[in-house]
Amino acid sequence: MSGITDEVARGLLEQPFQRSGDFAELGVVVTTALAIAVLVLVVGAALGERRMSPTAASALGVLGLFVLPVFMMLVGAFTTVERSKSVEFCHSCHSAMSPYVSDMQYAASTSLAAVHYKQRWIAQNECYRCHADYGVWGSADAKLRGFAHLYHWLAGSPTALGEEQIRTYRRYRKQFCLDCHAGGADFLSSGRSVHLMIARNLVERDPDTGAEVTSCMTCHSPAHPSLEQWRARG
Amino acid sequence: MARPGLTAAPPVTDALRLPAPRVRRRILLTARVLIVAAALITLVAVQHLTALTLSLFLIVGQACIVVGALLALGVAVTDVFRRRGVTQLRFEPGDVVFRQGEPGDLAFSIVSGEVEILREMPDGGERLLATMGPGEYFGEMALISDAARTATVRARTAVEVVGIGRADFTTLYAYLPGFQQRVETLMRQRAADTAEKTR
Repeated sequence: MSGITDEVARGLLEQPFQRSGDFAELGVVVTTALAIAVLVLVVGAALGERRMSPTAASALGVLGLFVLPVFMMLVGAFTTVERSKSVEFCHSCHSAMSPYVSDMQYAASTSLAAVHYKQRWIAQNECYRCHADYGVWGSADAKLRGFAHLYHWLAGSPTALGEEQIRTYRRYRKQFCLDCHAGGADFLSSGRSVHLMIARNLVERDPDTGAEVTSCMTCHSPAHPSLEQWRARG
Repeated sequence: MARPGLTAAPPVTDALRLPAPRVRRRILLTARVLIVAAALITLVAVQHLTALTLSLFLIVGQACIVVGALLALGVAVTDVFRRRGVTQLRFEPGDVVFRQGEPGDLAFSIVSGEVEILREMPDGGERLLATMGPGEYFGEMALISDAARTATVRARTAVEVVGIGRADFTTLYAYLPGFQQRVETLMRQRAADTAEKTR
């Protein structure tokens, strides 16, 4: 007979699976250790240089000023970029992102993002999974755009301050949806004829504009509430 | 100007000319400042990741590391050349060539200019032991005895010197006929002079 009460069991089911750690968390530990080691070595070498043999001072210099900093740079870049994919990171720009993140995490919301979130169709990094290209350059492209976002925030742009509606750079591409849904049983069985049309649109484009003819958003929008809808909700 | 009885050293043209020690110190200081700044930025970014700290790390922090590491590498490479061969160095008036108590890695032969040999006294003062000019050499004691520098050497004028690394100097000392005897005679003479002047 199990000693776990129904209440505890329910709690376990309701909580997302707790990972024991991932590479990004390990990266935080390693980067922190490297940064501290660099500080200790550089300051120590500067203070004790006169008491050390020139060979030892030189070796310490190479270690503290070249080898460890280069490792720190590489591990730090991996760690920060990985961690910057989290919802919490996106939400760190509260003024701009609150309407979208809060709606996504709002249990009663029926927006596409909220449905994906509450069903846990995307296990983590929900913003990033839907808004960054899955290709090789997806992360780099997303981070480069991130610099532009930071500039807008520092410059006090109305969209960054949450005063104006944010618009996507271009029409949302259905490849981002199909990356997860294509081939799925539900996707193939529900609305079969419509989804077959979408499949055709993967190769067929508007001959005049070159744009995709049908978007997932045509039927499944809104992905997020508009700023106006969010404000109206209070 | 050569001392009486000594021949002025000919200008050295083939020895590798390295940046002046003053320039080396500045480059090393710049590298240290950049790397320390980068380490602090990295610490802040990984511990408190926001758009601002991430951008600061990816732009400023990474640039500091790249520039600082390259500067440090440059210093390390020139240090290897300095210690491994015969190099030509220039000191400006007032520059310290080396300080009493430091470990030694080079012996120096003066090509032009003058240096003063100073003994740092326990009361914090300095006592002038000697001045040296073209054709004279100094710094050999620390290499032979593998001990710390016994005096401070400072450039009195603009000085061009040839630096000979420990390995090269000790090889010459061991194998060049007559060199060991000449150096030891000179060292004994200098020790006697120093004892006289610091009595």
